Amino acid sequence: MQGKEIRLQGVSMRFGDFIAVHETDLTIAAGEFFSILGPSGCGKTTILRMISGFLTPTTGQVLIGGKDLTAVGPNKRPTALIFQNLALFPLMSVWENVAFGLEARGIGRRERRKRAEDLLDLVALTEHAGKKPTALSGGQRQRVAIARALAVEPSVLLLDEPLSALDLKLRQHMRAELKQIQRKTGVTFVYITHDQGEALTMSDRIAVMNAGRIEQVAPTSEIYNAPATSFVATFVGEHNVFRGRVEGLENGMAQVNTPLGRLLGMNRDDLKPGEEAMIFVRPERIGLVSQTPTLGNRLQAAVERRDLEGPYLNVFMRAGEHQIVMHMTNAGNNVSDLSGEQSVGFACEDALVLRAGELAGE
Amino acid sequence: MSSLIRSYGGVLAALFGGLTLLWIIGLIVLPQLNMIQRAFIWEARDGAAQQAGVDLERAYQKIATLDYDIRAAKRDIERGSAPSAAPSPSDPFAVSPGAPSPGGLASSETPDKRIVRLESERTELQGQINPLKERFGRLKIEEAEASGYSIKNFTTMSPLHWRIFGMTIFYAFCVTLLSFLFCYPIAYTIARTQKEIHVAFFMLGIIIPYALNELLRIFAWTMILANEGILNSALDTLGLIDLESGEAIRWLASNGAVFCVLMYTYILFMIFPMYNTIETLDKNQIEAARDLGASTWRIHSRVVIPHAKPGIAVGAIMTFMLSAGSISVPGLVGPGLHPDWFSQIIYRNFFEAGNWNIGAAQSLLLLVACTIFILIVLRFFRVGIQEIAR
Amino acid sequence: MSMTANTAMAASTPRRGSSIAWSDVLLNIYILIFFLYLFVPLLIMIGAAFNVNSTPSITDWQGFTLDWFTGEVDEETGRVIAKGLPQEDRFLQGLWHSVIIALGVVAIAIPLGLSGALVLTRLQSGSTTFLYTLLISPILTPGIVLGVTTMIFWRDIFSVEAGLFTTMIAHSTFIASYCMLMFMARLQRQDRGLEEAALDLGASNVMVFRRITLPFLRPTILTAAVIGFLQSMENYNTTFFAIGGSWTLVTEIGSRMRFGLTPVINAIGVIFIVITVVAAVAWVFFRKREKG
Repeated sequence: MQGKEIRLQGVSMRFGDFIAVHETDLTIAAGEFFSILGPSGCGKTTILRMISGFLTPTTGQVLIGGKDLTAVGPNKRPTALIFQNLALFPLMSVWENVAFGLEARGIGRRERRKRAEDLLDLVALTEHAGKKPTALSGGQRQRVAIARALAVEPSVLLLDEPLSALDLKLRQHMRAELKQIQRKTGVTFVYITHDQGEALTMSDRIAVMNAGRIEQVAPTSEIYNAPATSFVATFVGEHNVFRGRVEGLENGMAQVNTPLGRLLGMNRDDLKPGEEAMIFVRPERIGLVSQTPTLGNRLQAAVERRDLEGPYLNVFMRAGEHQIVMHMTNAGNNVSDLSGEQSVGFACEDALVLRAGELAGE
Repeated sequence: MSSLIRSYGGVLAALFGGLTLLWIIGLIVLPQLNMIQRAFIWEARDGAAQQAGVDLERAYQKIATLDYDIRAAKRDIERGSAPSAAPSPSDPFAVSPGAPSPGGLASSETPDKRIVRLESERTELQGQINPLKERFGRLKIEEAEASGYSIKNFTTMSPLHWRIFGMTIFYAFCVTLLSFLFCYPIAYTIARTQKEIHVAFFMLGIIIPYALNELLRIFAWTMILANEGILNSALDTLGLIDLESGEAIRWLASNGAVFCVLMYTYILFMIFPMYNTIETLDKNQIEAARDLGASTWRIHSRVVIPHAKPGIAVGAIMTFMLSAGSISVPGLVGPGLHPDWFSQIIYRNFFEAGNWNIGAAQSLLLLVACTIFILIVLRFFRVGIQEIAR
Repeated sequence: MSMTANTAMAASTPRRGSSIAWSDVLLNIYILIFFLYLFVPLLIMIGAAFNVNSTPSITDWQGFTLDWFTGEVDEETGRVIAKGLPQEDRFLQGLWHSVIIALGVVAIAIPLGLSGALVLTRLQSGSTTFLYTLLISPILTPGIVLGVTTMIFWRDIFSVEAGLFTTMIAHSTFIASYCMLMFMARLQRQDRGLEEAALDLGASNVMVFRRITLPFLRPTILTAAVIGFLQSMENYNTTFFAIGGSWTLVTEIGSRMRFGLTPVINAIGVIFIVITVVAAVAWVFFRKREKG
């Protein structure tokens, strides 16, 4: 098996008056574990179905391995799709399920059986080969679906939220397993999810989608540390947000006038004075002035609640209209009696000034 | 069509589409159109022109027969021998009532006299030929002008037949209404029964009589209703009538018998759709209504019946259609004793009178009546045609 | 009769106060009468099948006999003493005709009904409702009209005289509609994802249909075949108009009811009832076992 590159050129999808996907260019490298992350209804499944061939894009081309496959049906593409509900064939046994793709390619029964068993070996289901899928557990069914998709030796494996039906523990286990299979096979994985945890732990790169548009495509760490838009910033991980207007600029930084006073942060969007802006600060980057006196931005806030979450302490504070969340490392009893009015702050380098826009979950 | 090709691919889409079209066109639309066309073509089958044609033909044949007899008589004279009782060709038309039989008189008649008599007969017939020809031609033209597309098949239907048509529709409506009234409590009870085993018993109780053929069900009733049947025997035993002295009540001769048996025969089609819809009603709705102090009547009129509308509509449509179009019940329950049903009129036009076009017109009438009933029911219950699926 | 009593008992719903109990009593009486209405004629018919009297009757009882089922033939002379079912050639011939017609109907109606259902469930077009109405219209058309139209159509267009073939066609017209409704109900519960998964794995459309859709529909095809077969066997109104000079078991029963009643008809009825009860009980048990 050899992964192939996927290239979407000016692809868009329109259903009647509704635009599911706006014109999009996207390149997914061969052998990459690529995730498309976004809330439900953002158009990520539509993109997946255009890659797999179930939908023909309204405009643009879909190229796989450099070949234009826009008009080619799903049964003639080098892709395999793992469905959200798995779509195992209930009337066929496990091995017949796995061997179905081989049957479609006209491979003889004996050869099919042998290759199906090899794959079932890979996913540790050998002894269940003769059972019906309904007789298996959720995790086992999951693995049958993977084996079935891999049986056709696809260059691209498309996964449509395949873990959403599993419980938390199994989900975490399957994440590791998927990642391992991807490394072993070298197939290009395109993984659709609305769960940022899944995307962050497994992917090489992530595309964050919202309302039919890709907002950012970047390696995992960059998505987290340097979100490109207000939506990405708030959809991936937590952020404290302060709204205001840019007042001044100084060496790559922007000074923003907010109801809580002037705050300084990295001017990522090259905003000009007078423009609407938002400042984003991760909860773990906020600290007490008393512990770190060098913090460039400072606020007065009243502690409302403290939740101890093992290694962290989550502190919820209120400053005027704003709720501020602070994550502190649990380093002993230094923080456990935090209460009342506190002076908190964050470094200017840890604050991100972006153009005011849509926030996730609004 | 493109959505079909996307779903099934070109080959299968063509196969499924083709078979569906074959069904629609070959089995549904064209036969109906053919019937409608016939219904609107007036065909003078047993008309005056045809009769005149037959008369003309008979006259020609008679003349031919006389010619044969005359030649035979002449041959007898030439031979001078005794008349050899010339047998005329056996022709059914030759022996017309009143005309003397040539064979019968041959022995008491000399050949000369016979020739004279036959010749005079021939002349007389010859004289009739031209008027007949003229009449035939005239009638033929008249009827040719009259035939073709017309609504005569409907307008010439006798008032009696119209009355039978009206009564059939009316009776079918009554059967439908009564079936509903009788079946509703049953359907409701079965639908409300909790234990599955009890439901199974009810179902068996209804299915067993209906798995039996329609005719056998009718037959069972004729045994009850016959003059020497069980009902009269029972009345006899009770002393209400005396069978010995011929006091039998002729149940089979009444429309009531047809009525009763029709209901018996088609009740299933009322119960099942109603049962299916009432069963889906949330029990809590009834409990809630009862808690709010609604009377039994109000619970049914405001909660159960509105919910069961699609089922009632389907049941009513099926029962009406089956009753109005039934040939089995009116044809087999005391045949010929009670007034006809419209289906029997249609049957006679096709298979006894040979008036196919009139039969087609009457079938069309029945079809239209059923269609109107369906539309009325759908409108009355505010049910869409898609909901008519079991 | 014990069964009707049982079912009547089953109707008693939980009582709530005496006012409701009264209506329950009335309802139970009504149900009892209703089931008597259903079953008494059957019992009478069954009874007459075993009466020596050659006119079907139970009031004029002349002794018990099985002759109407088995017939009685003098073994030495071969003379028929009692004309039972085996000696009634027209009944047997009619049964054979009925079976031929019913088999033909199944062979025609299943493909047509299946195609109609497959087209209707996937056709995305404004004319779907119209098409649906057209395809179920045979169910809503009086049977005699179907018989008449088929008979004249085949005579006028193809010069085919009324007979077994026209009857087969006339039956298929409406039985296909019933089959279609059954297939549509099944197809609505189908997971489209399965077909997509098969396509995605490289299957052709034909293979998807053969390996996924058809196996999914198989139980319904079987049920539809059985129901279609029985409907065709049972039919009288349509058959009566489309059969022409030939006859089926049912039309033969019909003409015997008009001319020449014989308890053999009762015997046939008893056989029908026995088959039905056995089949129904088997079906209930089978379903119970399937449900687990």
